[in-house]
Amino acid sequence: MAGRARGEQLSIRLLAILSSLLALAGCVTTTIQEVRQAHTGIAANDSVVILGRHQKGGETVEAGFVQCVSGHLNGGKLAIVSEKDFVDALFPWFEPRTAPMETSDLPAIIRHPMFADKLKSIGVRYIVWVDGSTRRTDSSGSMSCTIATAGIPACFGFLSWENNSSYEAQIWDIREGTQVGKVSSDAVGTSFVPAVIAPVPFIARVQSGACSSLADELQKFISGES
Amino acid sequence: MTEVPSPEAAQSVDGVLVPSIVDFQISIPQQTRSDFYEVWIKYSIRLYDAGGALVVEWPLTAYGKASQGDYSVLKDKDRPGMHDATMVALRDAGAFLSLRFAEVPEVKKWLAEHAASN
Repeated sequence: MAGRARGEQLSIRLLAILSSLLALAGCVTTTIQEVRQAHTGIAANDSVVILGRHQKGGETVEAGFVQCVSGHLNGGKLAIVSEKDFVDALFPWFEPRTAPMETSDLPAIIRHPMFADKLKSIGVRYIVWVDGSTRRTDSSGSMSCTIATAGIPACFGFLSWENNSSYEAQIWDIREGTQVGKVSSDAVGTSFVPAVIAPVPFIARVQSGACSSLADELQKFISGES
Repeated sequence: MTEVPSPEAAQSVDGVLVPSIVDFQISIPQQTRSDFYEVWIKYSIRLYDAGGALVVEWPLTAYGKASQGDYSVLKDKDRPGMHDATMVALRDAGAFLSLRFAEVPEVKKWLAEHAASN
């Protein structure tokens, strides 16, 4: 009995591994919009930081999304300072309670000599505030799995769900104390899993699509190429 | 800033800050059906002058939260979620003390008097 149970567990694991190996990409549609309010450009010793907006009650941007945009940009032409390094270096000015909400709040904190010195030492020229979230907007279908004869697992059914990502990035030139523009990235995609014995997932990587599109556009925006 | 064992021991300092925790609350997503681990730490911040007289006792509520979605790949989300929410709350208290405590009217008055007398 124990041997048969182990065999069934192994079969289920093999089915799961087979399904994950077969995982295919679902379709993602991404829309990027940009508003430019001032000229941008970056010198060799300037850097950029991507910060998540955590001040608002309720929803807050996912830490993984901020890291994704930061990581994407880090592989490009811009020098990137991580959110953690920036917030730690400039403690206590960028905590949820104290972070500037508008560019009009900047002069008050730039006046602090300690803030100005720390900012100069890390060389950040642009702060990009990212806000938004990814939500599941629809789901349908059902699937049932069973152990058929000879211990072979089998699944039948169809599952589908739709995810929607909506993010906005505000770009501040901290040296000038002004907002230079906004970039928004909206992505929508439907994932589905048909199953006739083995489930075959088609996963729409919606958040990842929104991240890479936003990062690409931010790079062009800050470099002054767009 | 220097750490001293008690307000009475502070003979060569300008003032003494004595923070104490009066209340501590936590909530986890399973309790609140929200996406967040949340921490509230209620402090009482007492400021004494160099003579040991109480200048002000000020209540400070520090708040921190962490989204459970940020730990979705972990089997045990509660431990890192609560840890991070607590760290945010502690930093929140530090941020208040660093930037806002001097704006409390009694503290502002005490600082002005202290600056004038030196």
